[in-house]
Amino acid sequence: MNAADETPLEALVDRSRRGDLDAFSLLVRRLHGEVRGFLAMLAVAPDWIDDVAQEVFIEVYRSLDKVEADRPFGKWVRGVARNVVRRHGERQSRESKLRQDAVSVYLRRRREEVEAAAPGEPAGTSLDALKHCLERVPDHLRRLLDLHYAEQLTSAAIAQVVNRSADAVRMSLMRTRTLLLDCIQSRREGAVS
Amino acid sequence: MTTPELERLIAAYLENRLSPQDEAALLDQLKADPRVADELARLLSLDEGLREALSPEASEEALARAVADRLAGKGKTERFAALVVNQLKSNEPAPRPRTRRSLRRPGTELNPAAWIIAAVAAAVLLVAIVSSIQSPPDSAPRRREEPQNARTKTDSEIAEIERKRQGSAHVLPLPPKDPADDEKPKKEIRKGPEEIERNIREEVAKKPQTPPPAAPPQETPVPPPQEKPSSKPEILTQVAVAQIVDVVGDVSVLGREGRTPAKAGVDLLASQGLQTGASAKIAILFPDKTRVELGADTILDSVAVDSGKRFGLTKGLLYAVVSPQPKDKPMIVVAPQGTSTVVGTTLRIVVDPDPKKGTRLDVVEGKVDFKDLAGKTVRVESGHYAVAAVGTETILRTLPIEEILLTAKDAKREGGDWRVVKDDKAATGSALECPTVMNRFGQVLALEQLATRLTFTFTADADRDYGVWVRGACTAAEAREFHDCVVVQFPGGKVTKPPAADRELIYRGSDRSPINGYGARNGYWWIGGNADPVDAKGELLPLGSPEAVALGDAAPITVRFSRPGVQTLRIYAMETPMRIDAVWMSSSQKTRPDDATLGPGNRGK
Repeated sequence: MNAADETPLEALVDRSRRGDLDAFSLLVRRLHGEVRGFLAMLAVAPDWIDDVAQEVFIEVYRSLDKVEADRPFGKWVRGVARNVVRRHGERQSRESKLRQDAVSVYLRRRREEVEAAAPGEPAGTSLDALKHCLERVPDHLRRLLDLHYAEQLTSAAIAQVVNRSADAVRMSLMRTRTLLLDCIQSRREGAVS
Repeated sequence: MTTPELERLIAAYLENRLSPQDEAALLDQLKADPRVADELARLLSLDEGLREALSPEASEEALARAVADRLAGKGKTERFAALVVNQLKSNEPAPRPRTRRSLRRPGTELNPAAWIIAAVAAAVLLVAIVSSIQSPPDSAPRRREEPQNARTKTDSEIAEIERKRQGSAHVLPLPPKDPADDEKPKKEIRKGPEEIERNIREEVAKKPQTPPPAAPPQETPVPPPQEKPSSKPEILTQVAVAQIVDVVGDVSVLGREGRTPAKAGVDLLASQGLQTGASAKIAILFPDKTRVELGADTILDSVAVDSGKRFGLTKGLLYAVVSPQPKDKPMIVVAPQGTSTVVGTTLRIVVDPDPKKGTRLDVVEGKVDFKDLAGKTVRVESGHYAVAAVGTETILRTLPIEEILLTAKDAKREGGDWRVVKDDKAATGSALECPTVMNRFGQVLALEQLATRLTFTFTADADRDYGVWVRGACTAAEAREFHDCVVVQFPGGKVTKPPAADRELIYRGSDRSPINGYGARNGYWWIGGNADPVDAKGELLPLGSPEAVALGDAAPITVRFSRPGVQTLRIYAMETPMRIDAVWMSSSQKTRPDDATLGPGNRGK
């Protein structure tokens, strides 16, 4: 383990607040995955998640003096992320960084309600848990994941490769995602208990 | 609405392929039960996590390395953090991060450094004829057992693998698999949070029962739903993705309506494939000038352009000259034993139906990432090839250099004789010109006295005879036969030429030869030595001589190098004015190329 994992989060926040950019760099590395996962839950367009995540961290750094001591830092960062996303939603831009369909808009509003109702609840997918659970995915389903996420093939294209129907591929991918979510949830519950 | 239907809607949303009707239906579901919305949000987060974990840049152990890199403070995470920190230090407006996703958007203002990092291939070239496939020797056993051909894996084999894996205590139990689940969605027995399962069943019970959608036949593709416009443009399967530009022999377009003859000038649609018969070939051209050719007995079963060009190559030969592609939208060719990811290059892929011979990738120019079934990725660069086959480790090998093509931009000009000119009749739009009206024949006894010349450097094999062809044009207005000659010299090479050329003092020497005779025709044409007419004995004759039986360069001069590697070619102006636009050294081109041919060529550089 290196410094990124040894230093308590609170210490990194404190050092960052005093202008220690190296500490803030460690903080970014610590929260990078969770912020991106959270932005995905807010239906930020996948192509823009990295851009928006950068904006979030910039704003986090500039607002560190406003962190509330009694509020979990992760939740505060998510609040900054929501504000950033909200501002993007208010912009009249032909090329939006947010998914603008009705389902995505609803999901964003829903996420606001959840955040307000569940203080301190971790959001998004833990990469550690995901790693553990990916190892347990059967080979033929793992191949579909690789084709979809690594090779960036659509279900229709994967169907051509694996000689199945596109609908069957979509269902298999959904089944695999559900398995992964269940596995991640189980690990989270095991960690909490 | 049944559970599988909800899953279908969610799957379509995750792929950004919801029709307006489906969007409304899914929204109704979310509003009716907010826990479904929470589930969808978790799936979005998971999707992002999977994209992060399984990124194309990573190897088979992608997630492990990504996590290790985060722990070690290396890789993408650290770069992102450094970008943020640097921006704060500079106090400038936020630049776009150098990530693959931000480079996807069209019209985005790109950071040049991102292109450097991405190492986009430079020029687009034409290449040589296919060499024979070599079967590499057997090597060490592979790490993971893989099926010989994933496409022919049966459901019983899949079930066997699942049974083996579930014998291990740590494997997640799978929902029971119905052999017919490829035909239509079925109700699944879902493990996991029972609360969600119960909620979905309750949701089903609330809605009036509607007839399930008609199950598609197992082997017939289902027409895609109507796509809703989104911030990211969707590619409809009806959209033309390329144009068929050349058809030779029996070639078919494979589509929903079955097999139809391929015709030049017709568009190829995204849902279509191609199949060539024996001795047939076809070429298609994409809007970005990427050209893909299929050889004989080839099946290209899919062409897609979502997020970059995608080809499914079942068997045969695919040859491509690929214009530079965005790093986030590389061209991908999926073959049974290996997947090639192309950013911009010239390549050839051959798929043998015999899995032991497998899939071979030749890279003539540029770089291609080649991934085999075991997940091993090999970066194949210019002048190399790799073979992925069952029972063989995928390793890099050097391509033999059979063709070398040099053009105007490859020349270094020394002295004042030569200049570069624009010429739309030249092979690449530019030519090397010596405009001076002069004839050095008889004035210069040794080329070394000339300080003005063109110099090319290139790579060639040793102990291989390369025929030398120079494409040029005489630009003199009169007495053209006295203003149409250059001399080629290969220091370190041995040049073989007809005896007649060797008798002339200025050309005597084992490393040089005249390239002469451009005045006999108008425009650019290829000459492989002294193209003045010869008699039956091979003796040179004046132009127009009735005794002439052929041109003196019916067989080109050849050059042979004793050592492999970097070689030098010098070209001297002897009788000008004239222009040169290409030099082609070939181990196979024994006869004069057509005037318009630039020749396939392994550039050897």
